[in-house]
Amino acid sequence: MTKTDLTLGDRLQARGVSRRAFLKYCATTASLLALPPTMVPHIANALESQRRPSVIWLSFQECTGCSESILRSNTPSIESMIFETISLDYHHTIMAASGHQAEEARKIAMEENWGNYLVIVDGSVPTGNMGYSTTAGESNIDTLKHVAEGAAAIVCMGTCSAFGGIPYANPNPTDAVAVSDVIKDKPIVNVPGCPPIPAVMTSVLAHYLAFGELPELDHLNRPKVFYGQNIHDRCYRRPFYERGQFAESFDDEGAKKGWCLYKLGCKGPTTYNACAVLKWNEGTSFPIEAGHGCLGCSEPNFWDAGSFYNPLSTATHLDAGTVALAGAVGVGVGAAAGAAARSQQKKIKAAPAKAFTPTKAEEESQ
Amino acid sequence: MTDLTLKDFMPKPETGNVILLLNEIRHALRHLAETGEPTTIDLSGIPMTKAETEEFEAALGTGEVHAEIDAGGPSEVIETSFAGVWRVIHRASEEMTLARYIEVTRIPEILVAHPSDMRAALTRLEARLELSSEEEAL
Repeated sequence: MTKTDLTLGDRLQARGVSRRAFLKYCATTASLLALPPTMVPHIANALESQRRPSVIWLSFQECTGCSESILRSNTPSIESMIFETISLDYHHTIMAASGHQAEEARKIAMEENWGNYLVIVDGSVPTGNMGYSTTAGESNIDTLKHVAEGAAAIVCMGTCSAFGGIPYANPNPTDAVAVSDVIKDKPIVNVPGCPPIPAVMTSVLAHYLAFGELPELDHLNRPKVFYGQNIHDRCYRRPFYERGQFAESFDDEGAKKGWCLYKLGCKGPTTYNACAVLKWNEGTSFPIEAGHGCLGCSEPNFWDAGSFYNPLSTATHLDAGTVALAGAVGVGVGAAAGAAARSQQKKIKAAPAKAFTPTKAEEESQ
Repeated sequence: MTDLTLKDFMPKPETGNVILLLNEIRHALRHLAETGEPTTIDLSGIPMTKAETEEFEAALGTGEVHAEIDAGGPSEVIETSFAGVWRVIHRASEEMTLARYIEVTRIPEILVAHPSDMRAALTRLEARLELSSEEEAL
């Protein structure tokens, strides 16, 4: 029996992982995915009999923050455990091999698992000058098209691969696009965030492994279970919003008392993510808990959606009086502001990104 | 005429889920007693305020069994004052709670020794005894 023939159950047993630890992992995965507890035995049976699927991780125009996030999850952890259940055959940053050996590993993984491997992408894809981002002399877009051809599904980790992210922001000098702008014939799940929450990334993989399909997705191809509610609705500062108690600056009495950060530019009402529930750094806190408003990093075009410090009401033409009224009527105006801001985002998305026009000096230097 | 204030229009801080949850547990316990079939309730999907969580835990109380498990991080199994109703809490570390369940069952699955672990344990024990007898023979 070769290593790849071993099931997860065989592997866990060989590593001395007890059945209790495995059941705990399955129970917490079910809870994270909001699956009914009756599904735990099904998850356990499915995962246990799984053979490690080959995973190819492609990094394009990115900062490696998504890899950092997923790899620096707390240990020992469910996250580290799930990575024992997949065969991560190619990942620039962490694989031991380099150069031609690394590329050979990718080629072998693709040949041996053609049609069945999972592709994870972090980073946006440049479509302008191909020299902006290459690996082993191959442009990112060529690598993506070639690797995606034999993939069972593609998971876009982070806002850059999901929506273009920061490279896509005006003036978008590399003509960056999202993976879904290039690949049209494969199932794609977007796991946005800058970076995404580690448990969200691994739970999406766990769902795929256990059920052989991607989780239910929203209109932006995000797993509904994690991106179905906005930050504002689950924020512990929400009661202050409803009472009309807002911090007006980062060092005023309101800020010291932990009041709502809406007027300081918090994008919680228009941002769909699980930060307020799952939190960061082993569940320690999330940005709003640390005293800073949400930047909206899991939404398309968050970098071009106006200042991080302007309240949503400014961007959506709601004046301070309307915001104050929100205190009186609670959810209604918040939802209205959210809807208006989302409408604004749609307009931004609909407008083509400004093409990069080289300056005269740049043209002369080329 | 009563003077209305802004407070009167604000949402009440309670979700009202404590009594609903206790009723669900009552039904599950009756089902267990009559049929032997267990029920598990995932508490992470049920919103409750901090005060309600405390009220809920106080209503359940604590029973005779309190077990701590060290398997992939710490877990706690607490029997409530109602036999057959257990609180099961899974953590990644002392500070980070991963999942909270109410299990209405004779004994939570996580406490039971599992056949695969027992087989592995038997192999280890046999190897150890063989080693001991070899050492004695020397």
